[in-house]
Amino acid sequence: MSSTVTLSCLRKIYDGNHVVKGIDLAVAGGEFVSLLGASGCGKTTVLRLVAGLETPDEGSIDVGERCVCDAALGTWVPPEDRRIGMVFQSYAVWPHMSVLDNVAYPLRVRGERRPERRARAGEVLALVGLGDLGARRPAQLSGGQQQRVALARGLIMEPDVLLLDEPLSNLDAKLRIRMRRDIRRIQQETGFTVIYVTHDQDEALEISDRLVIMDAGEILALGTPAEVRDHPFLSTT
Amino acid sequence: MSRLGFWVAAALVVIVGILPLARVAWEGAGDGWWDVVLDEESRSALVATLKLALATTALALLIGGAFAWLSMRTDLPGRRVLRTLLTVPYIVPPYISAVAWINLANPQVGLLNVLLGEGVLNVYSFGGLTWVLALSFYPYVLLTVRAALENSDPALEDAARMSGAGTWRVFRDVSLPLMRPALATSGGLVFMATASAYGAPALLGAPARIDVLSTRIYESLTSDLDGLRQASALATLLFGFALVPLLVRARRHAVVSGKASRPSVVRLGRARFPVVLGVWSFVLIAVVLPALAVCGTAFFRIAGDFSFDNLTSENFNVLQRREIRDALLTSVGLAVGAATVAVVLGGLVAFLAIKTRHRGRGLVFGLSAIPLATPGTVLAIGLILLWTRPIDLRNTVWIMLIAYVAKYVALAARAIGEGLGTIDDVLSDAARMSGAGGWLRLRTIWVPLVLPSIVAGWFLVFMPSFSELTMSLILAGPGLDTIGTRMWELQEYEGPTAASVLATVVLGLVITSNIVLRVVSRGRYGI
Repeated sequence: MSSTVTLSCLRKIYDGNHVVKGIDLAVAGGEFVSLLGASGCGKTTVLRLVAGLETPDEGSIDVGERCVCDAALGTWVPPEDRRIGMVFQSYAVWPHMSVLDNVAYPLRVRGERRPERRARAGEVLALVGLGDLGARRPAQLSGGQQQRVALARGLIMEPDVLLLDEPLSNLDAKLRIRMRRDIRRIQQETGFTVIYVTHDQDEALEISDRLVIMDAGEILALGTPAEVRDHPFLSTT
Repeated sequence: MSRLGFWVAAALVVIVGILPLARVAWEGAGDGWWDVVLDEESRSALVATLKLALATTALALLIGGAFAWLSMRTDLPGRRVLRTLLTVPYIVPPYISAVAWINLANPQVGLLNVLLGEGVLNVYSFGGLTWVLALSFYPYVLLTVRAALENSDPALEDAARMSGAGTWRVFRDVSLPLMRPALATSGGLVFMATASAYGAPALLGAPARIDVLSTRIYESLTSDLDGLRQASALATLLFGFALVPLLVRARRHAVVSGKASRPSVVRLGRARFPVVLGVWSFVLIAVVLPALAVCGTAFFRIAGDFSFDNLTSENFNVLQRREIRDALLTSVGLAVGAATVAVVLGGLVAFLAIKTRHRGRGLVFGLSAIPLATPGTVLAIGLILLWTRPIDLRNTVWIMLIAYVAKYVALAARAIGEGLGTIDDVLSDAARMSGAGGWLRLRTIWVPLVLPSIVAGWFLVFMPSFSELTMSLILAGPGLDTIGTRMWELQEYEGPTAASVLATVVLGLVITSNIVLRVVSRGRYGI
């Protein structure tokens, strides 16, 4: 249940601006890779390209053995069919559903029966530490709790790949540290592939197997935390 | 899905609302256009329409502008209650106002003339007609100007005051220029609405031999052999009036922005007492009296005798008449149908315009609003022209359903569009990443999230469809009646009591719907 993710010559242009300038990246199955960079460096765009929420102008993306998108061949798998989970920066928890229904939604989409999906949602909520809040409405939760709901919703579909877009940036410092350890723990227990976008270098250095440092739509450096720790880009930001 | 949705929406909007108008232009502007337009009677109708529209617009601007300023910028007591009371005429169809004022100021037996002396007031006159229409349409001005004042910073006026300007100079030099764009916009709307009104001009103008374009059009349709072509030619003239609101879109002031932190208040001082007296007298005359005149006539055995003994519910027995029950059912059914179809089509148009990047989405949204700004007579004639061959829908409920949907779909689209605008796309993206396809996202995410706006849009279409008269009179064939056309016949041929009963029913339903609308939309829509 973990897949490789391979990006080849990926390019994205908005109104003449090259936001992503021909990126190549191979993520191994079960690996935790962070995209690190200042805002506007193109890291979120790369993530949205993998998700399928954006279409590349050039290049291709393979998830496992499957090509989900190839600009040259016109291959295109819509995001809902990619079996990729995503946790958004703004959480995107649906205000009109209870916490449990939010988490169970991917199973509902798959057509699983109500009792099964509710039981499973309860388990996943327990995993992220929200076991007793299933009946609540999202508006009654704190930011950190909503973030956990979003994470649980990404986990429940047991995706091949989970994409996380600055999931901790709206939380306070203490909670951020606790949450990133939780995310890492859950990832190691379940073993799916993670691509994680952040602008916080401490976060990236602690949580990742490998880091990708990005600037102006290009990859500046790529390596394990030990390898990139002394990169000049990190000390200046 | 978005591609298919776009072409379906575009095709429906064009077929339902645009093709009929194109047919009118085609048919009307053909041979003989000059003959019809240069005809003596047409010319006098054109002049009468212009005079009536100008007079009504002037009066509505005066009433609406004054009340907007008084309720937003002065210490007038009871401002909040007045805001609601003064907008009540907004939801009352003009022909019902006309019926009310006939009860009040009919020269022989009008209730006011009974008090003042026979023939003192005559509603069957140019002045009477102007008065009734201005009372129906001044809320356009009031609401628009009030919104403009609400959004403009009172500090602008404070600054003028600190520069030594007195109340009148502040009003003239600062407040009035700030209100000017709103006055121009709403004045254009009143002008158009007056020119396209049919019910009130027909009820009040005919006895005084005042012929306007809309009544001429209706006469040509019913009397002449070559009526449809003649009516189309006249309709092109009326079409011209619909362009007026577009032409008077005045320059906007860039400073009108940002919510006012605190209302700046002009102290009325010594003028307080006369102003209060004037405002409440107006409420009494313009809102309370007409309502009493309608309900009074409906609930009392003898009109004008408001004693307890004279109270009765017998008049409501007319509702048991078969033809009236049928008309009520037809109206309810048509209004429910039109509101439902309009919400689906309008919702699709709004969704495409706001949540997709499809080419031409703004155009479709814009086209859907054209019939709303077009006089009902013109649209109705276009529908008759269009739905004759190869599909003949004339004199059926279907052509009426199409008419209501065409005319009011923009109201639903606007309401749903506003709702959609407040919802972040990421909520839909999250559903996509959960594996949900297009229809599932629509059903489980978008529709539940914009449901309040959908319900609001539904009622915004239901209310005017239920009480619609102008198009219904043209489209409803023999044996087919709506509550509006039935009431029309009762008023013309049977007298005020039965008509007032139906007017009471319409008023009751419209007011109830309005309250529901207000509750559902948490005060965003409705008065």
